[in-house]
Amino acid sequence: MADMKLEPKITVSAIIVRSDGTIEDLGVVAESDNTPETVTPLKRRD
Amino acid sequence: MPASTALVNTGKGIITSRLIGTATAVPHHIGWGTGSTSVTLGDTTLATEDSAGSPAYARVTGADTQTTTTTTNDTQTVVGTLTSNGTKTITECGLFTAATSGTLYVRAVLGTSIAVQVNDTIQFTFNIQFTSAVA
Repeated sequence: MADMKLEPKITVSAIIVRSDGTIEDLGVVAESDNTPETVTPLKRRD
Repeated sequence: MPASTALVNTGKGIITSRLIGTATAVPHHIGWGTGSTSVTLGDTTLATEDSAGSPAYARVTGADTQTTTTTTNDTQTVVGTLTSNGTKTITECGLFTAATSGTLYVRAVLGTSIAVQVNDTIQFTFNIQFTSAVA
């Protein structure tokens, strides 16, 4: 998933309306991973 | 929630094409499907776009607005509602440039699958926020 850590930031929200009129707000059902890549420094070898 | 949506590679071409004024349609046609294959940047379709039931499944044209998440008008918002024509479990959705075929802009695999029956509807809201940074 490393190649997913790119802009833009995307969210997808969903609201269900059942045939009987019941509403279910699911909120965010998908979102992109925009966490920056982290680099771990190499340890010095003496 | 795992990473589950992205502006795919073909979506980048849609953006640059529209920025330079060439004839690329607005990517506001919302489709849904029953596939759950992880999103990759190379995706060009949904994994399994819906094709079952009667009346025939059809993508819906979303309403487009510029909205503000962090800075003025930094976000493209597309809102549209699909109506189920039968019993199915929706696990993915996406934005395309056309009601049929077209070019994929954004694909999403849902963190929560959604079981629907005939005449249930799902309103999807896609927010695509463009950001920049100075190092």
